[in-house]
Amino acid sequence: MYKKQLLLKLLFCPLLLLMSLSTFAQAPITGKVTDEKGNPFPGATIVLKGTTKGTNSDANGNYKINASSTDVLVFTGVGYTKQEITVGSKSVINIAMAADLQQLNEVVVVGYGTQKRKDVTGAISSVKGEVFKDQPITNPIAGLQGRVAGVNIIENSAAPDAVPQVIIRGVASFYQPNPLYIVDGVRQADLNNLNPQDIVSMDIAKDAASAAIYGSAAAGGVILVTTKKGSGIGAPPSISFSSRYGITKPKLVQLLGTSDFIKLQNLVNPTFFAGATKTDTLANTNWVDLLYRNGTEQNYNLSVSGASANVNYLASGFYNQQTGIFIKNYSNIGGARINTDYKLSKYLTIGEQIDVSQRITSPLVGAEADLHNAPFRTQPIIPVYNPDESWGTEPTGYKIAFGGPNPLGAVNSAGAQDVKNNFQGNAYADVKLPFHLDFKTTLGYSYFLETTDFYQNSYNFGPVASSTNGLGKSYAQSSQLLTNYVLTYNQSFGKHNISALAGYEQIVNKTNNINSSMSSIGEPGYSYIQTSASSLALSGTYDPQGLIKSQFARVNYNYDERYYLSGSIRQDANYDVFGPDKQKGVFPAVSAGWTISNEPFFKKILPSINSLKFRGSYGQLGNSNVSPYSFTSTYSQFNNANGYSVGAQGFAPGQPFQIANTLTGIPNPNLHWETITETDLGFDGEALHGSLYFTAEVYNKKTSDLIYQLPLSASSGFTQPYITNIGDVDNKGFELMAGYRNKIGKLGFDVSGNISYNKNNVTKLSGAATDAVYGGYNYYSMGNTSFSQMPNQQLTITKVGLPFGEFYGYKVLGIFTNEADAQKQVVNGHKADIGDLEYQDLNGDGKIDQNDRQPIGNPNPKFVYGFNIHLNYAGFDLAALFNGVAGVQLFNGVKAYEQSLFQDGNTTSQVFNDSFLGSNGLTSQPRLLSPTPGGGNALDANQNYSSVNSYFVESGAYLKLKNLQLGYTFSNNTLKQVSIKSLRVFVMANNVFTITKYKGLDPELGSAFTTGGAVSPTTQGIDAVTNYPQARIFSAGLDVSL
Amino acid sequence: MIKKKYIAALAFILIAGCKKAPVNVGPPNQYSSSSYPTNITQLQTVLVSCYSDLRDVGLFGFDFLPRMLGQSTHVLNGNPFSFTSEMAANNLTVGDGGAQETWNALYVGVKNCNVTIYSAGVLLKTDPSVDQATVNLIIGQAYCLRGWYYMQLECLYGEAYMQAGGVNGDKLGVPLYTEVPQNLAATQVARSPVKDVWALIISDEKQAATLLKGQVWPSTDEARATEWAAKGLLGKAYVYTQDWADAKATLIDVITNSGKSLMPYSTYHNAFNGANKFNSESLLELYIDPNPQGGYGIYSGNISNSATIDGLLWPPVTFGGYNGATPYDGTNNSVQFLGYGGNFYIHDQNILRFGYTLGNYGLVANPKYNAAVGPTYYNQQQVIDPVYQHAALQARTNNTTDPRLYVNALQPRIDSVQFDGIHWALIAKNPIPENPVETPQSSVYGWSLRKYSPIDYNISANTTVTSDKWDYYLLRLADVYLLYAEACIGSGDNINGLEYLNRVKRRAYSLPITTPSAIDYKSLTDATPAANPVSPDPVLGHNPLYYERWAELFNEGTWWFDVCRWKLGDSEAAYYKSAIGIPSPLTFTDSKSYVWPIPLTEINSNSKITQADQNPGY
Repeated sequence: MYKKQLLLKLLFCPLLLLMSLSTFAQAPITGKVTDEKGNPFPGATIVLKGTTKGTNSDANGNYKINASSTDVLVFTGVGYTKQEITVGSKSVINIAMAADLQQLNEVVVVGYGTQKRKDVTGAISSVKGEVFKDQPITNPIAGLQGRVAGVNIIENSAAPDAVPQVIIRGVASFYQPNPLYIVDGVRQADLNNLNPQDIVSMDIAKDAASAAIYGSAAAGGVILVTTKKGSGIGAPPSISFSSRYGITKPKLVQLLGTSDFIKLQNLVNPTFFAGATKTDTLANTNWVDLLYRNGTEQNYNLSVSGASANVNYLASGFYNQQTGIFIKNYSNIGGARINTDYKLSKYLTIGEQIDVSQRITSPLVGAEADLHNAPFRTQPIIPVYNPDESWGTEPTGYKIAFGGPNPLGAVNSAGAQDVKNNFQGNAYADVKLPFHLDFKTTLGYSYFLETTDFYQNSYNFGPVASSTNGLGKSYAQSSQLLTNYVLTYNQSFGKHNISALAGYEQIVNKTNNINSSMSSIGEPGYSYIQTSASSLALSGTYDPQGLIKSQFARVNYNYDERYYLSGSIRQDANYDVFGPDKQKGVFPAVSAGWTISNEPFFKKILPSINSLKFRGSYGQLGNSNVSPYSFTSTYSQFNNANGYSVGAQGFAPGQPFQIANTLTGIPNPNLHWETITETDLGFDGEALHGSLYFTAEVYNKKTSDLIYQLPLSASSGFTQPYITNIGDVDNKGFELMAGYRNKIGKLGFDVSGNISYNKNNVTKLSGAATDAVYGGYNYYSMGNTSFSQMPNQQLTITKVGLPFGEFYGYKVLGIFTNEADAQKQVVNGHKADIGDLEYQDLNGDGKIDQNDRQPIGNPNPKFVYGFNIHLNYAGFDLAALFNGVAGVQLFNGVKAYEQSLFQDGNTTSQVFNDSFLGSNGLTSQPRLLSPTPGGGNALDANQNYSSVNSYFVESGAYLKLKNLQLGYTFSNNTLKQVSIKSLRVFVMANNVFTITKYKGLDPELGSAFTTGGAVSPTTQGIDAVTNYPQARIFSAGLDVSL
Repeated sequence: MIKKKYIAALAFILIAGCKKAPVNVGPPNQYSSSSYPTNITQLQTVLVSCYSDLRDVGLFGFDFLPRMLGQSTHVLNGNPFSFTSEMAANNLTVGDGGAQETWNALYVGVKNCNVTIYSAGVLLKTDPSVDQATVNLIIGQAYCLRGWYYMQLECLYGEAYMQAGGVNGDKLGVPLYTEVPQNLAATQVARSPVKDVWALIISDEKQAATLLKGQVWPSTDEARATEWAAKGLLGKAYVYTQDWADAKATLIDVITNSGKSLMPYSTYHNAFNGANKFNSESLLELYIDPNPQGGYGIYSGNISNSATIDGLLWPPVTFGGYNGATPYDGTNNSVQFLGYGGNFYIHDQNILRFGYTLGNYGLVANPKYNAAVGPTYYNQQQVIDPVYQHAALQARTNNTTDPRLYVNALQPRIDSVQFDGIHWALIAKNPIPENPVETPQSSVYGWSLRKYSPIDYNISANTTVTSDKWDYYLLRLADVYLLYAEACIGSGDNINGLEYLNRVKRRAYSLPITTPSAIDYKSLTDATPAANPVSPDPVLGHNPLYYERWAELFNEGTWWFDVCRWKLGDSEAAYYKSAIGIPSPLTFTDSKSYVWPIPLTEINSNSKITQADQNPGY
């Protein structure tokens, strides 16, 4: 990108063209360009200063150019410092290029253009693809974790197709938007299909001023991705191959084996195994080991790239295969990319990027086959198979009863495949116009097609059975056609530098989908074979109405690269998301900067600081992350609040059912975007010739007109909420980043760290009779609120004065050690005793009930931080990536299952530490059993384990060594024999260790029950049995260049 | 050549151009509220939602009878989970899930009726040529059902029943929505006075009767409301508000002119389990189709069916069944529920109240037992004591027990069911906490519920019929007879009052309905079967009106309203004594329990109803 810009400048700047007319006597100059290690440097650009005459070094680094003795040769290469050498009397000029340490000269991609780092006045962070290309990730988002201050990336699952969650500068909405992804200038829904190894850089626009050029799409921040291009004019094609292979080891909870299980039941339910003598013949099934396994991750990448004077190209392909740690779960993705630019004339450049991929996933599906990170509803005494080879059921002859499924049978009774096809293509044309104008138009087209097949076989697990099978198939396609036209102007008048742009953009979205299902199909598989018993169901929608039209403009001005001023404005008209009275929104931004280090006085006072810039910005963004048509009220098929089948009715036997339609809600023609207003102040600097680099900033981000699902009065008969703009949220924080890099002898190092602080606070939720929003459940199975250790109790509250999704329940003051005190506490009509949790009686009425609930923990981390260490010594390189959070609480819902006994299932050995269990006295864990007057035991009468209380709220602070990588690059001499340019081998570990006081499996938790990386602001930090476990990965791999 | 291609491509990019901005868009898979309905057929589908809402989980779909009214009236006994225990104790909290569910479902019904009336108006405006008579029938049905929904709401949540002379009329009724709310403010509505609610109910049913006048539905539309359904409900509203004169006039009109008649006992006996739908005494009936279309009763997501699944919760229990290929052993150690096990069975006191005085059975060794086959449900080692069996059967033959007991309940080891749709097997005593293993002579009766219950198939998931088979009566002529009797008595006409009570009773005893008989009540304080010596009921034992409404309409969802109208809470609690999982003895709080609370969710979402407007005691 950098080089292309440079070329264009050199080739087309009319001034230079004029100057090139003057000529001197010329002689051929030859030489060799090498890199800092002495290896040949192909593709370096050599031009005569002040002219357009130039050449490139060839594959061996050699070059040849005609020049006169007064000419100055300018050597440039991407990532290397520009060098100028006067020809003089020399006829051979060899040169060693030096890596450019000063990041300030890097090019930063901003909306609809680029800027040099030193000219940026907003909060934009950049990450090079180089640093994460060998991490075991398939989603480039994961590569940002720990590397960018203010960007909180959460990888909460080892599922092979997991998408990390991204929160930039705090949760700001009930409809928390994902970042806007701009890949090579074209917006995309996500980066799930983008090959991380195709990426040159990712630039993250964090503040409103940097993002405002994207208006109502940019509330979640903007991540601008640039993919690779071919380089090295005249050099032979460059071929790179890399591969890695790794083992994924799950982190799991282990349940009780048979002897401990019986021991526990003898205490809890003494009748179950009373008088049983042959318990040693019972099975001892480890369901965890049956359901989980070690997974694998392997990745292959091949790319070919090159360039000639008029064309540069890159073609790459990759394949990634992952088997999940849960049985039958896998996800494989393969894809290819072609990027090309053609210089058709001095004035016209065109090009395209094409990216295709396909991901095939075997997801976790099936009746009774929900994933649990430990299958608490199992019993070790149940065998995998019964003697007659049917799925194992409860052994007879004992009083114990089991009402659940055979989990292995459940998983094996269903199968599914999910195929995601992705095409992304964009073409552009760039025309140089007179008067320093440049016109660029881009046409981007993306197409996504997902098909799923889900076969559910009949099954019989004793108490849970279904005699019919069924098949569901779905087909969902979506496409986006984006066109934009941008006119830019760049000119300098003396020390006044101006760049400006104006543009128009239109985005047309279409979706088309169908869902179908058939029960009682004739043969197992993914094809419909109808039988007499079959029932069919169909639904589908074709919607071509998605349309956004926008105009935008931006002006950047600076004086002498010292004083910067910038302003931008965008108007978006969104026709299917905003109400008819509020379709158009305007989003302005201004920013300013002062590069104090360019002031003459500064250079005198602090010469060691080679760069220091202060900057400030203000801007507004819109959040339009609500479903289309939320503003309408329509007639649609009647469905009651719980989604039950009241959408039809019969009126006589044998007659067809008649469809029921009704009005679904109240229209809101004023529904509009949430407005985010953000100010940002910061400074960037470099010292010691770029060895030390740092950035710091503070921001204040306010969301107003928060979109909220206002529940309508039940008596209105409308069960759908009224979607309206009521409420404000504040996020305030600061970010620091600093690094140091240098070389001591042969040891090169680069150490950097970043930390961000954010405080989240809901400041207004008005207009609602209900002043709070509740969220989250401690699910055992997703969606079943009643079959849980904490049935029908919500875990979080969001209301004015609190952050999003604060945990909400009884506050535990301690464990009762004194009977007299304990007897004063009444829970659900039951008096507490020693060993029970003492709850705070908030209203002092002597009873603990829902009126005594209070905020008990904040799942929004105060601090998110990371640090990176890169070392190289001779051929060795070592990279370590740490990330962490602090000032955060988690709700350890799994603990409630681990320390008590769940329904007819099992638990962990932690239960034996409960107070007064067996021969225990008072311990640090509350009691599970309460003696009853009749001599029996009541289970958890004080609701120690079955109420939402602060016993389960733990600190979630952690520090992780996320990735540790050791590589060795073979020296050039060895490889020359086999025409290999470079070869690096590496070993690595991911999720190496975690330092935390958190007692659950892993403190890195996303928001519960969302998929696709979406952030659900009211269910963050909940550790539930339904979470896909985390894993460690150990890999080895190699990178080869030919 | 290549360059030309690229220039062509560039030209294409430039002209791909601007798409015209749409004026008004909406979801393409739904109908726009600005243009719908455009014809009668579409309007009919809007009306359908007024009926299908009756199958909501909070109404006849699942919870209303088994887990709410079945508990509050002690028709049932059993699993005290969630709100059912509050219902059984007649001691609800403001957050009671059942009271909330039913409130929501009833108001959705009101809204659906309002939408129907509104969209009929839209259609008439946009297409004045539309068939006005058909539109009137549609509006008429909507008014009839809106009246029904409001009557349920007022009776459950209104602060008090209005009494003769407008007494209680100024107390707090339920919020009234007479049209569809069009904006946020219109969804915030205060409670209306009781008298206004009843005035609307009466007005709705009158309008319905006028609009539906003379309409006879074809056999393809038997479940639609008629003039007579509306008039029957109107008469009920008059009785409930003690307007005896209007009640008598309206109800005798229905009795005389509706063309309906009480069905004979032989039909009646089989009119609650799937057979004899739309019979001669059905005035308004919710049609249920046993085919759930691949779904699971009402729990079917987006599947369109006409199912309910109450039977899942109160199924009979039988000895019949197989464990794999092995038949059950014929003891209570292995029994089959024809639905979910362990939830509800008929409360024992009901058996006694119907006049069953024989106590419990004993067991003897089975003389026909074939040891070579081994114990199975069809080759039981022990069988019911034949002496007891004979006596029990005689009680049926001789009608010494109210015959309606056998319409409503199944007797262990005497009655049988078709547990798999084909094979018959005996009913087992319900294996409840008090009776985990069969203890024959214990005080526990453990009968199974028969009315509205699966007796010839297993309703639970592992069969293909995962729906109730039977229709639910919203109004039948026997109810109208009893309401008419009550209106007569209320206005001092005891002779006609007694006669209509006796007509209902005579049908139950298979006697000619209009001919005086030996089993007739001789007076309004005559002894009823509930006066039996085993468990004499001091209230229903000598009140034929009360007893007949209880016995005739058992488990049909009306008794709770009678308990509340007549203030029988204390005597009912005393009679039923206990309920599983509830502290004994049962109690009733007169100052609170006759009225359900306005649900907390309503108070939280409706700024016009605050805690100050809550019903007393909550």
